[in-house]
Amino acid sequence: MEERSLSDQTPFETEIAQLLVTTLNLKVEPGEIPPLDPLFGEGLGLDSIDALEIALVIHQHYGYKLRSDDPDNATIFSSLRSLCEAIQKNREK
Amino acid sequence: MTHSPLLGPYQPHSTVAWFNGKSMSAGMVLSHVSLTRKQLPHKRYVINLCQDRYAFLIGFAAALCRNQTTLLPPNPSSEIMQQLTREYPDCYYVTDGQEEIAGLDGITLNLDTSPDHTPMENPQFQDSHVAAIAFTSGTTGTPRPNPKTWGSMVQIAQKTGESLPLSQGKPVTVVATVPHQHMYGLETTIMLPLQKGWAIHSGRPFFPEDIASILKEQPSPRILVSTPIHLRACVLTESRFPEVTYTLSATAPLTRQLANQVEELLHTTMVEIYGFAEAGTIATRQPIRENHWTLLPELTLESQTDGHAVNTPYFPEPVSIPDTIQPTNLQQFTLEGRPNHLINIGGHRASLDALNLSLLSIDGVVDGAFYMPEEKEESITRLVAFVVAPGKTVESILSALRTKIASVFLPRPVYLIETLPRNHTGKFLRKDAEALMREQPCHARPPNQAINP
Repeated sequence: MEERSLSDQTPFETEIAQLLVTTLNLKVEPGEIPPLDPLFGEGLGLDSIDALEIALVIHQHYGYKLRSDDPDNATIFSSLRSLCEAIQKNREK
Repeated sequence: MTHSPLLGPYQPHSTVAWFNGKSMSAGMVLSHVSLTRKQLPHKRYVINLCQDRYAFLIGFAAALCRNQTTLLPPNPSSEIMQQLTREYPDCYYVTDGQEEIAGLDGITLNLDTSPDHTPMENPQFQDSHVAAIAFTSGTTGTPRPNPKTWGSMVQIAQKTGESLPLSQGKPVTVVATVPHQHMYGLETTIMLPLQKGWAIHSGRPFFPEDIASILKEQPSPRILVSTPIHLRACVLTESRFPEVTYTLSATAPLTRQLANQVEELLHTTMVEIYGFAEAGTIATRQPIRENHWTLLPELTLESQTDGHAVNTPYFPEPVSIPDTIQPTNLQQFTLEGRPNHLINIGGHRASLDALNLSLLSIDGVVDGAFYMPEEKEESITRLVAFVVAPGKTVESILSALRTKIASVFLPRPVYLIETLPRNHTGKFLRKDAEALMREQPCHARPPNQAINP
């Protein structure tokens, strides 16, 4: 198996990064989003409007309904990697 | 001198709020208000940072009891907070959590203890007392104050309530996705329920699944206060919603198609609210059944040289309407659009001039301008910015902007350019902005990399 450093995207992270870039019309190459950088505020600079869009597209693609009263929610959105881990844990399709 | 009560109808045992899953009766709420008012410092102004709607209500009411005025900042950026503390030095803040404002005294509300149930008097406040000051971004970069008297806020709540007839008897609960720290939220999620005797749900559900589950926990009849962005998300997910008697929406236009879908999904009647920080709510409509807006009772329209104003006995003077309207009769009008210099993204309004001033105030920025690309209906269009700043990176410009403006206005992307094409009068024209966007390299760049370092 190909060896990756912590800052390299996994194939699933690249898939989700592509989805974020397309959905949110970000002017970034998907492969250039550092998987451990924050998605909101500093970092990728997303905001609450984006959070709703992300929730919608994740539901449509993976059948996972995000909730804000989920105690893990702050963690889920902390980085591309944690978002991907949450999707893989909860996905229904 | 006239007074109006905190609680419109007052019955000590009826539910005024749902807080942490518990019913808070009018008596308990007034006990919390009474305990809190004693903790507040002797100051004139307060910034209420409470995230929980019930905590905000207690802080707001306690401040009223002390004749204080609640300031409603246009956004929570550190620069706005610093400007407000300079303009209103006799100010403190209340919080229910981690939020704080550097350089100001703060009070942390503790509402964990259940107050006693002793029936207390319903507080009465002078109608002329300035209960809140809402700030708009203005065109000069300095927040412009819009004082709201207690009497005007009570009038708006009562008149808005008249457009939402409900059969008497059953207790109504209001669930809201909108924050309570701006005029629409304060009017519809705090003042309207207080004055109508409806219960306030203290949470602020965000994702469709949260909204559905909180609505299901409340007995019918329910009212949902939301925005087109949240309602669209609700329609696009497969969450199941209970019946909602009325769904209120404001901050941005609601398409008739979305209004139809919401009515079907929530078995509800959609009511749109039209207002702005300078006047508060001025009109309502049911978008499926009517194209025109109906003014709240006792409001009148007036022509001005450059548009229209609205007037009513509870305004000291006529208030200009920021949008272009077409009156259809004395009580009704249609909205014809928004002047080009005003921006509305996800319900946040700002003037392009004020945003440009924020951009130009950044160290190292020689010239620059925000630009709103043509807006599309299916998604939210973001601003872009063209910036002349030799040696600066996109990231450093975004970091500086983040302290000055609300995050929804942060440009996507920032184009670093050598000169900004301005015409002979110094204006940056739409056609030149479009040309610059076309000229930019089509390959995307990560946000932390300068285009011409």
